[in-house]
Amino acid sequence: MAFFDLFNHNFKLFLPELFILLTGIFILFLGAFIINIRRYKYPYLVKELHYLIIFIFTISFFLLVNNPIRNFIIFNNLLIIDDFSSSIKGIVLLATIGCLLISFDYLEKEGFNMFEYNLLILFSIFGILCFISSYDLVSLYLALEVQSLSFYILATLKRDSGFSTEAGLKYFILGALSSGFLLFGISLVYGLTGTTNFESLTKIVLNFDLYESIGNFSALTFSFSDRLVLGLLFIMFGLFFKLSAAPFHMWSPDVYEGSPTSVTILFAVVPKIGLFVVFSRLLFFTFYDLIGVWQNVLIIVSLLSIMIGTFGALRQYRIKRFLAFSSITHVGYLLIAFSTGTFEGLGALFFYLVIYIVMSLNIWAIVILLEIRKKKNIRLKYLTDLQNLSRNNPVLSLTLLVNLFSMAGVPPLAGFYAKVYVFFSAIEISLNILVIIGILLSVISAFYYIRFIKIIYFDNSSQSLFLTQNIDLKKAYLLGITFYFILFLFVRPDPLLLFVERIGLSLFV
Amino acid sequence: MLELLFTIPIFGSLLIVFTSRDNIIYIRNIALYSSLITFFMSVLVWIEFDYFISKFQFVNKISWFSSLNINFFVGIDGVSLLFILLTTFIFPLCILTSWKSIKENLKEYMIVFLMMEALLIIVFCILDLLLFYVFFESILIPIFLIVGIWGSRRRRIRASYMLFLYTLLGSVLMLLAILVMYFQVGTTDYQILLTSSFSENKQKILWLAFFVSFAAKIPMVPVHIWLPEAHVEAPTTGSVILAGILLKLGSYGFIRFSLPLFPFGSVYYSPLVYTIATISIIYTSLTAIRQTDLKRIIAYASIAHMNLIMLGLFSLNMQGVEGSVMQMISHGIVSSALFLGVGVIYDRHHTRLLKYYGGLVQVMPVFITLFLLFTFANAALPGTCNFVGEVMLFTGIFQDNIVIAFFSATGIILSGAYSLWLFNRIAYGNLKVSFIKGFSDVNRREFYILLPLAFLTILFGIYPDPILNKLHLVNVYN
Repeated sequence: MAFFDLFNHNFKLFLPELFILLTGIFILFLGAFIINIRRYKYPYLVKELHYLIIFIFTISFFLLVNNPIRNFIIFNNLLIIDDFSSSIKGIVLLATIGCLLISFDYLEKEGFNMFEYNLLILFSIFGILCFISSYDLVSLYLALEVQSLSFYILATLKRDSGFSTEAGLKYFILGALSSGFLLFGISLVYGLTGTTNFESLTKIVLNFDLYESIGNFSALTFSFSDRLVLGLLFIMFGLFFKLSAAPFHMWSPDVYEGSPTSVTILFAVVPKIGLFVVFSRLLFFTFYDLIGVWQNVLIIVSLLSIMIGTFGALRQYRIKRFLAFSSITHVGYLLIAFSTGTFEGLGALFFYLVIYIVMSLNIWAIVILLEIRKKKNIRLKYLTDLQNLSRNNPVLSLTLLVNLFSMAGVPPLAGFYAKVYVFFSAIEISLNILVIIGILLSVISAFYYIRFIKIIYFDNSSQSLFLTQNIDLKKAYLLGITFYFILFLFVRPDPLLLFVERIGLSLFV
Repeated sequence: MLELLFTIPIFGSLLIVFTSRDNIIYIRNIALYSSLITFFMSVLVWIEFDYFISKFQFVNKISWFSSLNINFFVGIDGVSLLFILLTTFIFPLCILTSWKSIKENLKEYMIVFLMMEALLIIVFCILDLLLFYVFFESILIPIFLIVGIWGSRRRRIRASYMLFLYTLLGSVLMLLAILVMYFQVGTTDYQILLTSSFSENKQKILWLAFFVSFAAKIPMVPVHIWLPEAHVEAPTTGSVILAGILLKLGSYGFIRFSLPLFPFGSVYYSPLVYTIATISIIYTSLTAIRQTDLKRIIAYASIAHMNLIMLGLFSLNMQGVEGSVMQMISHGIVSSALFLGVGVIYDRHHTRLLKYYGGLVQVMPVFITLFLLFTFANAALPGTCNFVGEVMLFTGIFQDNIVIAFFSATGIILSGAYSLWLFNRIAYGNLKVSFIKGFSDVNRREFYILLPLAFLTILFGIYPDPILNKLHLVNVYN
């Protein structure tokens, strides 16, 4: 009977993910039996596959939107389908479609003739979607591993490049380490409570006295709650690794630099959404009563991320490393919003996250656009290669200018409102010192963004690259949409704010 | 009415966006006419303004961030009316000034310029604290680009960095203060904020946060370095906007926000302001004397004048505050005129160093006559508008603190020193023909740029009532 229930309810609710998984398996067979056969002129149907996966994600998006059932826990309490996870999944799918649209030309020009690329993206997004709706520590771990394993391979995909191999290896080793942390934390929690289910854990955590446990770390006699806190800390550290928050950020600049740019875009934009969602489910829902512990950890990690991201980016001369450090800074600001532990904080988190996705799609579209070269030995690598962009391509450089000012948090652009709302939520619970340090460091980060602007607009050098590039239609649409979003959000920020607050609210109901 | 004021420049800049880059004449004319129409609209606002109502007029509320109770709320009183008139008056002159001197990227220049005009008008008429901050800061983008792209020398990059970072560093703390105020009152609507009071300890902290932000803009002494740099490296119009209007944003912020919202904080910290402002006056006046760059002299002079305005504001009596507004307007006219004058001779000879000039009175009599008028106004000679302002200022300061009045009055003597010496070195002496070969007097365009400024300088010197009658009721109201 239970077996038929599976088909009656669970698979229906699981349809968007299931569709991605099944098409992934289909493509796997397609690749194994048709694409890689020499008889059909070897790289066969690969370009069509790019279109196909965008189509798959679009269909999956519509399946998600049209899902009639709003709130359900499926697969024996392993996954939860609610408004919260569904809306975030929509954002993930849209962001993925954006990433794929901008990396289109790149794949063709770089000669990526592997069908595995598309397959791995399908599987990783499947992993992220399951990760978002995971309702059990085991399903959380499994989904995270599906995502990470696909990403390890994606990072090494450029087989003839030493950087790419190094990036993949680094990512794999450190990712495996972080998975170890995560597993250790999960097993501690399981050993202490006997359950891995979020809802049961909530009930257990609710019932013990937090203040008895804090500051009571005598080495020999760990109490029950001490060990639970330890388990929580290990789970958080594992997730910080994947998030590239500050003390655990070492892998991210190297991986960003080494991976093929189309994959870097995916790393930069998509996984962060899923991680923050799981973080909010874990901390705001399951372990909310340990707020005294995780709030302090988050405050420290966010401060460190902002500092390291800011001061690290000051010394970077390569574009992709620069953007890696800048994303570490953004993660720091996101964690400030997160560390508040309030409803406004959650709203601020998703407000910032949406704006961050749009800004990074915009800037990565420009980077990948300028990186595509006919001649392979000349390619965009350093910040200074962007000199004369304002002469060669004024519209593109205007887009970049607006985006950089927005990232620096200069009003009235979108990035400013994101930061203001983060500080707003932090001031609400009187995290004054954190806010003051954060806002002063944002001035320093403004410095390196305007250094970027200086290179584009103020420096005139005759020996820089000649960066004239035809923009293809897909990138042009995406650049246009994101540009207008950044520039004109200030006209009516209200709908977006209400949307993200509805997302935040749906976690609690 | 007010919405028209700032939508016309935005509309003009949109028109320029859709104009071809090569169509220089159209671009210039669109910019000029849209700024002129804005000016006439502001004159209409001035005519329709009722001096006998002590509340904000032409108010309009557009729902914006309504879930946080923050709305786009505009309205003007006497003070903001004066600043809006100053802004709309100076912008057409600036666009005329850049008629020939801006050679490359004219399209972008005009777009940025008109956007800046719109933003400035919004800043002066917005009645919401958070949105005031938004537009106050967003002016950084255009001025940063103007200094960085159209500046003259290689050092312009350093100047634009300093301009951007000093102002940003100062003002981010104000944002936090605004958020703190929001959590007490529940809105950032200025008129509602006026009705609520903050505890004394809170006022001390909030006032300081506002002070840091506005003091960097004025600028007062420890954070004044960016101003001479930015003035020297900016194109002429950039300097005019900086000196004429942007510096006023700081003192406007004090008069609009710091004084009415934090009365206790203002009284508590007035010794601090007195000390810093007096030091600034004497120090920058002495510095101005030994400069060799024309623009630097005027830049340091405007720092001294702005700090005198600060003294007047914090004397916290009617004469002082009114005098400081009077002085702000007249400084806006006179220092803009001086920078325009420097721009006139810079366009001819492409140097701003004093040692290449001399004896210009023999070859540029019209220009020197006008320049003399503005130099005298800068030294506050009776009959010019600066004199009226300074008399009122010193009346106010003298009532409050005689010692400070004495020390700050040395600034007047020093202003005579640097202004007259600057004029002497330019106008008299031998023509330095070994450096400069050809000379020509002001042409018709430049004459018509300087003439209205000269007219206003003398008009307000003799008959300051058009400015002052707008202020009486406002002061009572505050």
